[in-house]
Formats: sequence, C-alpha cells, structure tokens
Amino acid sequence: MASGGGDHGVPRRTLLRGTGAVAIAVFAPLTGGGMRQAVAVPRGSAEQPRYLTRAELDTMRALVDRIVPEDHATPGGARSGCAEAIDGLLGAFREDPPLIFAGAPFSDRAGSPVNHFAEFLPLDSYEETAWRLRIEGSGDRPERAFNGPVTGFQTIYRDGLAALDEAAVGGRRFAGLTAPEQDLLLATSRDPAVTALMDVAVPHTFEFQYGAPEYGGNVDLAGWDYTGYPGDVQPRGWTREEVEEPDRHAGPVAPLPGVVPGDELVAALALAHPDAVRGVLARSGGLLSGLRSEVGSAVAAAKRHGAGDGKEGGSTDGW
Amino acid sequence: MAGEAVVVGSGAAGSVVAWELARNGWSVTVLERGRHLREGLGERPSGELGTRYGSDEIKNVSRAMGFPDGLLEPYTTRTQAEAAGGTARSARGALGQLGAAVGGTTLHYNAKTPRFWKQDFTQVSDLGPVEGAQVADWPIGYDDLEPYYDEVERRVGVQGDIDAMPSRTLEQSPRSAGFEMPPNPVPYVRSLLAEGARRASYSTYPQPAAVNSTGFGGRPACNSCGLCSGYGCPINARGDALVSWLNPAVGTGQVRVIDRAFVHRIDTTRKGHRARRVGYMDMSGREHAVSGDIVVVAGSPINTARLLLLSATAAHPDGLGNGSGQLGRNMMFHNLTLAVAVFGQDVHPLRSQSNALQLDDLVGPFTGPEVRALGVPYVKGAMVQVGGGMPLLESAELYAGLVGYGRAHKELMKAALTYTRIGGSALWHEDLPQADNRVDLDPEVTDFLGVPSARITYSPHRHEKAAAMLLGPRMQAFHQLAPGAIASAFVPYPVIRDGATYSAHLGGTARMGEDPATSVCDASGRMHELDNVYVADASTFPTFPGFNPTLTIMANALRIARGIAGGARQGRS
Ligand SMILES: Cc1cc2nc3c(=O)[nH]c(=O)nc-3n(C[C@H](O)[C@H](O)[C@H](O)COP(=O)(O)OP(=O)(O)OC[C@H]3O[C@@H](n4cnc5c(N)ncnc54)[C@H](O)[C@@H]3O)c2cc1C
Repeated sequence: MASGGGDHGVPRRTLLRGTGAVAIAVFAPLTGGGMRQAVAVPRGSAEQPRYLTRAELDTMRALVDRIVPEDHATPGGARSGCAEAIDGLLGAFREDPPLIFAGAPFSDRAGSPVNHFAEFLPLDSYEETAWRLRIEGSGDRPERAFNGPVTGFQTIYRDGLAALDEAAVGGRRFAGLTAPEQDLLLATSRDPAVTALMDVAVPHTFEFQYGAPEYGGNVDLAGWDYTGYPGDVQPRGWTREEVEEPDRHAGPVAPLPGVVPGDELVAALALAHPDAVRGVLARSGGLLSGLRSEVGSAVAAAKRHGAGDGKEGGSTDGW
Repeated sequence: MAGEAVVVGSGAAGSVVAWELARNGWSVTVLERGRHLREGLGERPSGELGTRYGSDEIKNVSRAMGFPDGLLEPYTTRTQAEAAGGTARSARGALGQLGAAVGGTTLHYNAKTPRFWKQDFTQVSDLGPVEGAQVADWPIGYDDLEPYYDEVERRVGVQGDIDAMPSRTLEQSPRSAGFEMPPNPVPYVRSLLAEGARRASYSTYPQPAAVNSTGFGGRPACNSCGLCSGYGCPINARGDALVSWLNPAVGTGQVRVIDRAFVHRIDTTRKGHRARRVGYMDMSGREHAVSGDIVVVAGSPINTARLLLLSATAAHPDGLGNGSGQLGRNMMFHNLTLAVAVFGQDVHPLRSQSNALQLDDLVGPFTGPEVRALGVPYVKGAMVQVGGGMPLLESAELYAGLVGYGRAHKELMKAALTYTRIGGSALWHEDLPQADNRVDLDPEVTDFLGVPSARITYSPHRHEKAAAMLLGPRMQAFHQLAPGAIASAFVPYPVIRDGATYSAHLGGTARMGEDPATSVCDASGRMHELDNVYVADASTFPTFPGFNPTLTIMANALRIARGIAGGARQGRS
C-alpha cells in the first residue's frame, strides 16, 4: 500500500461545518450507524504501480500535489491517493472486472451493511471498446481509428510526465523541484505534451480527490472532510426535518475566500445547476482548457448583466 | 387487428408504445442500442428489479454510464453562421446526447413532469408568425392529450399538489383530478426562494414529478438523497419508463427487447410506400434485420432524424418520408437561463433535487412595448424550476473552469458553497422552430460501425435571446429578494452562446401537421408518405414550449399507440 493507503482501521475524521468554522472531531463507530468508514480499495502502490513505472508514479505524485496542494490542515492529492488512482485508471484493464464503473447500489457509508461500490461492474463489449479506446488509444489498430487516430490516456500521461521531468532544470526531476518551482514550470510550459497532460490530469485528479473512495483516491475521505461534503447518503437519505429545516447545529459561515473576485464567483455559481454543468462538461469534453473557456464566457456575460449585486448595492468583493 | 411491430428505441416514447401495443395483443420487437442496466427485466415486478446505478459521481457524471460514448458514437455540431461560412463542423463528441440504455434516458432523468399548456397548441393562430421561425399550430389540442396525461400520470405515479397550483396554470393545463401522491417535503432553500418569489409578486408550487413520496407501484418513497438528475435512482423511487411501461410490457410475453442493436436502416418496398424491415448491426458489426407490419421510430429527435435520413432510397432520395424537405429541420433545444442566490447561512440545497418548486409567472406570452423594443412580436419564456445545489465533483469541475487548479481551487472547495449556500434555478426557454436548425448526416464523421453520424446545425433565434434578456433580470430579482440572500446573478445562455445549450430536452425534426408539404408526420404520428411507419417521440412536436417534455412525450406516444392499436392503416399496395 502506498502511504495513505486505504487499509486503515477506524478512521478519525474531522467534519468542517461551513468554511473554516469550528472543527468538530467525529469518531466513526465500526458498526456504521450512518457514519462513514474507510474502505480498502484494490489499487496499485508506490512499490508496484499498475501501469506507470515507479519513477513515473513519483512524478505523478508530485503533480497531483500541485493540482490539489497539501496545506497545514489538509492533505493534498498525493496523500489522498490520486496518483495511484490515476495509475489504476491507466491500468484499469489489468483487473477483472476493469476499474471503470464501481458497483451498485450502495456503499456502506450511509446505512448499508454491505459496500456494493467496492466490487466493480463487469463491462459489456461496447463499454470495453469505448474505455480501451479512451485509455489505450487507437495505436496501430485501424479499426479503432474510424474517425482518425485517438491518443489514449496512457500515452498522454507517459509523454506528459516525461516532458515534466525533462523540463526540470539543474539535473533534477520534476519531483525534486520545490513546490513554487513546480507551479512555475506548470504555469509557463508551452510544451504540447504538458498542455495535453494538464488537460486530463486536472479533471482526473479532481475526480479521484472528490469522488467515491472506491476508485482509489479520496483516501480517509479527506476530500469529503475538508469540504464538509456528506458523500453518498443512500440508503439512509435525509429526514423530513433535515430537508425542511435549517440545520440546528450549523455554525456561522465563514467569509468567502478572496481567491477570486466576488462577482466572478457569484456568476460562476449560477452555473451550479446540475443540468447546466453537465452541459459545460459535455461541451468541454471534460478537458481543463474546455472548462475554462466555457465557464469564462458565462462568467463574463453574467458580470456584464449585473452579477453579484448585493442587497446593500455595489460589489460583493468585500464579503 | 393486432400484428407485429418493430419499435426503435426503448425510452419514454418507445416503452409506452410497446406497452400499449402488447396490451392489445401485438407482438413487439424493441431494438435498443443501449445496454440492460436493470437486472430482471420482464421477469420480476418493477419493485424488485436490480440496478447498476448508485450515488456515484464518477460513474454517472464523469464516466457517463448509460449514455452513448462520445468516441464511439459522436455527434458533430456547428452554428448557423459556421454552416453559412462553409465550416463542416466545429465540435465533435457526446454533445447534447440523451442516454442509451434499455429504458432510455428516463433511467437517469430528473422526472419533473409538468404538462404543456393549452396556448402552446395554437401559437400561430393566437400570436401570428415570427420572422425567421417556422412556428406552427399543433394538429392536436390540449383536449386531445388531456386523457392521456391523466393516464400517464396515474401509471408513472406523479406527486404534486393541485391546491397549490396558480389559477392560470390550472386554466391553461386543466386537470380532471389531483395527483397520485402528495409532494415530498419542501427543501429549506426552496422555502426561502419561494418567499423571494412572493415578494416579487410571483407564486411557486410543488413541481409535479414522477417520484414516489409514498410507496407506489411496489416501489418505495424517495428519501431526498439529492443525487437525481443524471443518476439512476438507487432505491427505485422514480417513475421511469422502464418500471412503468417496459417491464410490465415485457412481462406480458408479447415483447422482446434486443439490446445493443444499432439500427441504421429502414428498408421499404420498391415503390417506397411501406417499410419492409428494419436493419441493425450488433456490437461486432454483423447485420441483422427484423420485419413487422409496422415500424415505430422512437429514438428521440436527433437519432430519429438520423435514422430516417440514413434510410434514403430511390423512392425517397432525401431521406425516408422527406418529400416536404422538413425532415431533420426545426431541431429544438431548451436553452437555459440560470439564476442563483448566495446565502449568508447554510441552506443545504442538495437536500434534494427531486422536489423542486415550479414558477409559471415567466411563461408568457409577453407582448408589451419592452418586448417589441427587442425586435420580436412576442416573447414566450418558460416555467422556472426553482432551487437546487450541486454535488461535489461537479462543483470541482465548475471551479476548474473558473480558477484552474491549485490553492485557489482548494480554497473554493473548502468554502463548500455549492451544497451549503446557494439556491439556483433554471428557466427552460421555449425554442422557436427554425428551418436552418437541423440535423443532417455528417459527410465524414461516423460511429464505430462506420455509419454516418448526426450533425446538428443550431443557433438560437432572436426570440430566445430576447426572452433571456427580458426574463433573466426577473429571475435574478426574486433570487435577490429571498430572505438571507447576500448576492445573486443570472446567466442568459442564449445570449452568450450561438450554439446549442445542452439541456437534455430535445424536440422537432419530424414535425406533425395536416399538410404533407410542410410536415413529416400526420396527427396520428404516421409519416405522410409511408403507410406503416410512425414516429412516436418528441420529433413530432411542431413547437417546443418551455416545460420539461417527457410527460408530454409519454402522453403523445400513448395517444399514437392507441391509434395504431385501434386499427393500423392497412396500406395502399
Ligand atoms: C440528466 C437528465 C435529466 C433529465 N430530466 C428530465 C426531467 O426532469 N423532466 C423531463 O421531462 N425530462 C428530463 N430529461 C429528458 C428526458 O430524459 C427525455 O425527454 C426523454 O427520455 C425522451 O424520451 P425518448 O423516448 O424520446 O428518448 P430516450 O428516453 O432517450 O430513448 C430513446 C432510446 O432510443 C435509443 N436509440 C436511438 N436511436 C437508436 C438507433 N438508431 N438504434 C437503436 N436504438 C436507438 C437510444 O439509445 C435511447 O435509449 C432529462 C434528461 C437528462 C439527460
């Protein structure tokens, strides 16, 4: 198991209510009782990756930690298992069933005694063809190149990670750079291999950091803890009181982080409609560059039309 | 007289048709390119079917299980301006696709089931023509659909509250009875937005939805989990087409469903008056054919148009039944205008999606000077689906579009806004039909079987842009007036984008009408030029009013199927 692997005992988790508010430590009882539990997931490790070499996995771990950085209070992408999870996706077909669709209908985090998510679903030949094409690319198989060649995730990652190591100056590899050096390299690289890498690595890292832990990331449910996200809640669901009433124990909410101007943030939040974001994803192909242009144009338009007009009038930048 | 039918597509429309025909003694073969996702189909009661769905964002959203794959079955798109400039396509992929599964897109639809309004069926007569649009009256009226609305609601199980519905809504969509079930609990955030709406002199009411609020049909009540749109219901509380129609239909022994059957051709007799058989390929590209007395096409508008265009012959050179030249034209989407309120407190908007509020004050038509100043004779808006939030992974992707990655992204994630502090609403714009908004066959791009892909040329009409500019600020206003709201915004998609907004609501491409010169199907759903080919999905809709369409799709499909069962035309030849 990689460090931070999923073979832990009783998880201690910290539930953050709102933002940066009072932190309440919660100990999950072994018997479930509605509390979330850690899961043991089948995935590669630093010693034995599925698809990548150990050296590539090192670079990958450094990379996912720039995408989701570790900070004083919360783990980043590396400790949350994102690198191993991406390696799991690249080697998805080395498992049977392949690691594409987690099982159904319930995990054991919200009242089910059995974790169905933990056993992946067998694919039919359509799904297998689609996911092999996406992961392996068309290669030298003409029947896969019916609309022209497809570069698979495996190649994108392999070439991109190599490009990162090459770009690291001073005889070091990417993982040997300091975090600011890594950030600078990523922000300034014009190497198409790096751009292609970031287009897929960013959405993938987010998937594994914030998605169900059965896919190999979100180790110790870190991604759900520091976001205060309840995760999957079936079959327990929410009671009438939880639906209709404000939370009695909800602490005060924190001011918004000033990492983006308030009016831009509010405009982007207007897109936070499930069907609308599905549209953003569909149009962008889920790639980082596509997401940026799609959200960017919506935010610009919303700002033009008065996003963020607060009650007191004027901009919301300050709150 | 009962015969044999071939139905293409097993979604909302196809499942209803299979059920009605089977009930009347027909033998039905349903061809579906998607996969079986509900174990036990036809063998177990609907309440006991298995499922491959769970509350899993990676599986349902990022990896789109149950949708056609964007690499294997791409669509291509372009705007009208791009088409005029000679651009063959500007995008390719899973753009605006509906699902592909046994049960169709309804396995993961959000199950909002409003009715269309009386005024929607007589739009040209009431409001006159609009330049650049092909607005038409429907060949049927609300009264023709009303009994089918009732019947569909009873079978899928709709929750709602007739006493809370505004009088204009009830005048425009009269109901002979109340709903099968009372509404789910109203989420806190929606109560706040409802108060904002009240302060703006609007009114809201529980949106009708095919979601169990009590046990119904052997299936349990919804527990408000919040992951609905795009997810199959893991506890089977949703009235989808499979549990309501297809499973009981297969249970009669009269219906067989062939999955992973990619239909690419309807063959006709030499003179072209009758369909002889339906050709499909399996996964490995092997050819198969099924014949029947009638063929019912129910693949949803883009796929239905593609199939009919693929079926061109010497007798039908421009596509099957396309003497009017209208086949593939009038492709309509519901563009979105979105609004959001940001609250100063935790309003937990993810509990839950399945019980929205509906607001009908922005349906229109609006005809005042402020409308004419926008250069259109009238504006028809839409109902507004009020109040909701967004799960975590989708939020991460949204923020990636805003700030990229790194520390800023993580700080936004920690702020937890999208599931604690926002209430967002969607207005599903009525989209006027245009001749140049059309589906045709892409000249180069194909699916993995080598069959030409559908290409969609689309731009919103000036009407939709005007509607968004007129109504967006009104949406924002009632969000801003919600108690506790500290900020608000609206995003008028038709104004921002000259291409299609993916709203998963599709209409047009094979419109019904009285006149074979201007329409593709007659009022019974039969193609004017063929004796035994029917279209049963929203392709037949002459206009696309601003309400979630699936209840109307089912009601219209039931009407069409009952017409067939009552005596399919026996043909000329
Ligand atoms: C995330 C989401 C949420 C939604 N929420 C709502 C909502 O709340 N309310 C609402 O009214 N609507 C909603 N919709 C829309 C709703 O799903 C559709 O309106 C409805 O399913 C259309 O019914 P249909 O039978 O025409 O098409 P579908 O249900 O899509 O079924 C068509 C079937 O035909 C198959 N098919 C097509 N072509 C071929 C071919 N050539 N060969 C073989 N098979 C073929 C397809 O694979 C598909 O399974 C939502 C859609 C999505 C994606």
